[in-house]
Amino acid sequence: MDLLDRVLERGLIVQADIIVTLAGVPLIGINLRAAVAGMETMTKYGLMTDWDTSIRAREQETSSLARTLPQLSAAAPEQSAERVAE
Amino acid sequence: MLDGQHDSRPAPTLAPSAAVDHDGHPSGRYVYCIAPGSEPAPLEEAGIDGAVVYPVAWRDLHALVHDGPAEPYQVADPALTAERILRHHQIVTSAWQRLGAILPMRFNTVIVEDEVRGVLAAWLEENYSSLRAKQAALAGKAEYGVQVFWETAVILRETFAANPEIRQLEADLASLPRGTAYLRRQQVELIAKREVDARALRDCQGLTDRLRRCVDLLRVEKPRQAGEGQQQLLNLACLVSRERETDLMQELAQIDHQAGYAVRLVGPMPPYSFCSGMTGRELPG
Repeated sequence: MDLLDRVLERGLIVQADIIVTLAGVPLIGINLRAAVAGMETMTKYGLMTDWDTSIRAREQETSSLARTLPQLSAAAPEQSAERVAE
Repeated sequence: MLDGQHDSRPAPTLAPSAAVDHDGHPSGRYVYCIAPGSEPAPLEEAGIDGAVVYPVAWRDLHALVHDGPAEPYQVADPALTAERILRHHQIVTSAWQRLGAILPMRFNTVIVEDEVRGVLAAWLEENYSSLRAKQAALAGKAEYGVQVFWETAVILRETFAANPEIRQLEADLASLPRGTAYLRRQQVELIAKREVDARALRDCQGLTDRLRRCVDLLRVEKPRQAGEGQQQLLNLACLVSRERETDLMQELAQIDHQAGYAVRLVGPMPPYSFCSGMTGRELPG
């Protein structure tokens, strides 16, 4: 479970009758992992010009992202984002 | 659910809708997290797609939200989706750093709002005790992802060297005729596999026990694919008090130092994996 998996599949559960979901759409795929990895590289080198400096300065704090994302493998098996009751 | 009022609103659908209804009330609220405090300092950062993030409070808790349509974000575009996910995590992490214990939502949690009565506020009210208890249980703690890998070649070498049965079988391998030598090698491989599997089990149990002593809670995850020449032995989500973090780091450094082992650490991060099914009473003493 990497950061991406956590943000997509974990967190607090809110009961289904007040939220609206994207049923059956897999959120984690090869392209998404690659895009997240690419995005992180860009933020690291300050290439995301529409992010303001306070956000970029905090990139140091998101050390978990920095350590995790370059190691996301493009060959990792896809997982569906089905909400599993915990 | 809402004081016995009949909810005549149709079930939420994915039909596109305006960002706000004709009265100007939000029809949807995207929720980032639940945080302590009733009047938090205004956020300086923009949310997803530049949205204004603001609090919705109930007593001493608040949700951080932005207004939008009563539908989740579509995810067909990977680059755009990635940007939104990172922004979600940025808001969650920022709140965590500023406000202490938070309960992060997963990406794309959108609550369908009601013109007459706030659905989110009602939900906070109904779940206040449980949310407060969860938040208190997570105060001062961070989540780490811990993965331990074997370097396969090293482990195999050790297994061969340490096993007298294998050494004996291999001793005269060179002098055997080809057919017999082939069968002998098969035999050796079977024994090696048995020994390696047994060692994997012992290592998993031993390492989990060691790490359980350094953390507040741990959760065993499914093993993931490893890199070339590696095998993933252990994949854990750990909840650690900030004061105990150095203990965990030291233990992991010791494990990583052993020949044939590698440790990969992700974190500290807000406790995504420990938000559900947790109350203050469930933490070990």
